[in-house]
Amino acid sequence: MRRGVASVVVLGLAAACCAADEPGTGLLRTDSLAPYVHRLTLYDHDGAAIDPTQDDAPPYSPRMTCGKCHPYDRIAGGWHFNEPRPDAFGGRSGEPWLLTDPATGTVLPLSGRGWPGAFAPEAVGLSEWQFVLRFGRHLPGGGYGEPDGERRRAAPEAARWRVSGALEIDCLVCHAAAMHHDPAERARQVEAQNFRWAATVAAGLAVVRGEARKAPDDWDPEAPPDLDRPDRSGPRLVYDRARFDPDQRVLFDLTRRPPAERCYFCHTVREVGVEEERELRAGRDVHLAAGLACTDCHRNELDHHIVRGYGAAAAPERELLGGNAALSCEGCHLGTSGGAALGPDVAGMHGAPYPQHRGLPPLHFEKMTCTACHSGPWPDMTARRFQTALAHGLGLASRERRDTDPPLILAPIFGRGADGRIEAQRMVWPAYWGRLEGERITPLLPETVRKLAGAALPRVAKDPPPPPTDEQIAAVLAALGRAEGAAGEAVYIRDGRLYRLGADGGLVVTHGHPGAAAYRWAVGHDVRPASQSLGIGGCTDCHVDGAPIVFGYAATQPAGPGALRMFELRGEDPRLVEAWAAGFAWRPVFKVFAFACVGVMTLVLLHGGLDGLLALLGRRP
Amino acid sequence: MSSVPQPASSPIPATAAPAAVGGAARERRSLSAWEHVAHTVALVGVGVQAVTGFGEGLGLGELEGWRLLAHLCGAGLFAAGFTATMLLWLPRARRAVPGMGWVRRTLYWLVLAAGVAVMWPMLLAMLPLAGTAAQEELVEWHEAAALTLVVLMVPHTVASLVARLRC
Repeated sequence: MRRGVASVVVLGLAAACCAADEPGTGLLRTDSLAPYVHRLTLYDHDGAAIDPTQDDAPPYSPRMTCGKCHPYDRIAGGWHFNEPRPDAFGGRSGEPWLLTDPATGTVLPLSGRGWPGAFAPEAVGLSEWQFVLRFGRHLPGGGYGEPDGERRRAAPEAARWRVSGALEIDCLVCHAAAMHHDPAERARQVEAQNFRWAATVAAGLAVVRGEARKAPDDWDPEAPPDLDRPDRSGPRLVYDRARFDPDQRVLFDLTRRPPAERCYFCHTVREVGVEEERELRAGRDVHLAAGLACTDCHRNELDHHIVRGYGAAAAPERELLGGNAALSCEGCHLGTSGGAALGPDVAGMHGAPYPQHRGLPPLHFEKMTCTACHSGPWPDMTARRFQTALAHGLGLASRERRDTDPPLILAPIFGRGADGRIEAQRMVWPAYWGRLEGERITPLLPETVRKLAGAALPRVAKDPPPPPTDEQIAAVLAALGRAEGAAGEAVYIRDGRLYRLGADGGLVVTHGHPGAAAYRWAVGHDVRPASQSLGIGGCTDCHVDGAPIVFGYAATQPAGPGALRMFELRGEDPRLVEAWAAGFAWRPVFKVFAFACVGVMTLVLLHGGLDGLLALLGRRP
Repeated sequence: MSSVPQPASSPIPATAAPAAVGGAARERRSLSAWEHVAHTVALVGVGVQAVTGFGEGLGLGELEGWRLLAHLCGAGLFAAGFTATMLLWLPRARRAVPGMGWVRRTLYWLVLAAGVAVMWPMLLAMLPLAGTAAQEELVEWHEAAALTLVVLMVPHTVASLVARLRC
């Protein structure tokens, strides 16, 4: 592993940053396992060295500081930053951004990666600025946070972009070796629209006074403070001079192998509603428990195309992520080790044990992914409720967060992935108001719904509010229908149903519209070891009447909204799954009977063979 | 050679014995009800297993879903019918009797060996013994033995029919 890390350690020490976008050109390398000590001069957004002793010293710019040696623009094309790029390959569907607005009953999956079932932010009228304000708390910068200058100038919020600046990639979000970088503080700065200042404050290099969101559109950072309205003075930094050496350089404690806790700020998933004791005894991913870090498998080269770990076998992802096939479950556990074929006695990368799977027919590997049996929580007859960092803002301290907060994310769901294999998934039912034209639904943003149908929206008395009643839905649809210049029929999507108004003004409910389908994405972690995987209890972990993987409900309650059973979700024949379950009830009897049969026949065969042999030897008449 | 011993419960009709080695007894031996049942179950079992198991080669697609379930259920029929039939014919296969020349006796033992070779791999695969690679090998053995069995069934059937017509 270390050899692998060393092979990709590239530390650009050259000042020739202009050539850094060409692979291998203009980059100095250490090619050492020892990390390069980053004692750096900070540069501001104009490329000028920062003197922290000066009043009004500007924030540091990762683009200008880190980009002195590292190819910032090339890195900006990597997985964590390239979502808005139309040429970026989206790969397998992942967790979308969920635009949640309880007051309008909205849970809208968003993604710029072209994942089926998720809407591109621009398609629903969400500007980059609005996107960053909603989700910037968990954006590492770049992408939506750093549209090019022309786009920022052309944006409706051009004046605000000018005040706040771009939300550049904050390298320390991932690469901070210790917890001196505070992503939660960074999220607070994003909320205050202090985009340009966020990296500096999160790194603990300075504290900030003032907020960009309170500064006027024509804010001039050079202008003296407005004594009458000090809150409109905009952000100003107070640097911690103790962090600077006599040459005004700062020691950045960086790593290429960040601890999992860094990743967890954005990638935490927690089950809610569990008893305290159960939470206390909750397991960890077996790989982390074994001492691996996330980046041991989710690696990247200089271009920061992170290996997502599902072993993409098709172009262009295969070419894009060279290590994709090798750094997957199969790659480590079934691959080769130094050219030697793995087997029960030869471990794979990181000492990954070769899976025995004794007694498991190989057919299962064609029909199911590894994660179906090994990932996520042990399934029950009903799915369980989860919260994620991206959807519920985990990682940010709050006294307001409750287990029942929307959106409702369910797991484990056993659906089919894009390759047709059964996999463990998470699921969310989209809910949104929209306009239906033909078969295409264009969602409306909650602000638009409030503007057009505010009076008809249900008054939120409870928190979280209950789903709107049929009468409330009809009232809002009628209000949306009356809106001037509205193109398309007003509809509401919830729990797999499409609501619309009939010719008589009554509510018409349609099931099965593609725009109402549940959004599902694969569960990768936490991985359970073999001793805790499905099947450890035998075939009847899955092949029995009542097995959660087949007969479980994709809802928290059997009678809950959209409570499909897993086999229904996969479109399987109910008679077939029941016949399979019934068939396996007789399997122990069959085994005994078949062994008896083949045992008797074997004895007969042996006896006959012995007779024949004796006859051949002339010892039998 | 002496005559075949006939226990009271033997399913072999009395008309089939006594018989001399290479004798020219030409009495037609009718099958008992049990033999009919056993043969029918065995034939259905072999037929179901052959059609479902080799369906992919016959253009029926991958072995999955209903066809796989039928294959698993057919395994019970096959095990019962095949074992019963083999045991019924065992006394005659061990000694030459009228209508059971060396060709049919040889075929009996070959079919029995193939049947055993078909069953053992999949039964072993059901136990938590064989890992993935071994499972794949067992499946290959199962398929090869099954193909052998099906191929042997052709001369076995022809020989049986010829013997019946001669009687």
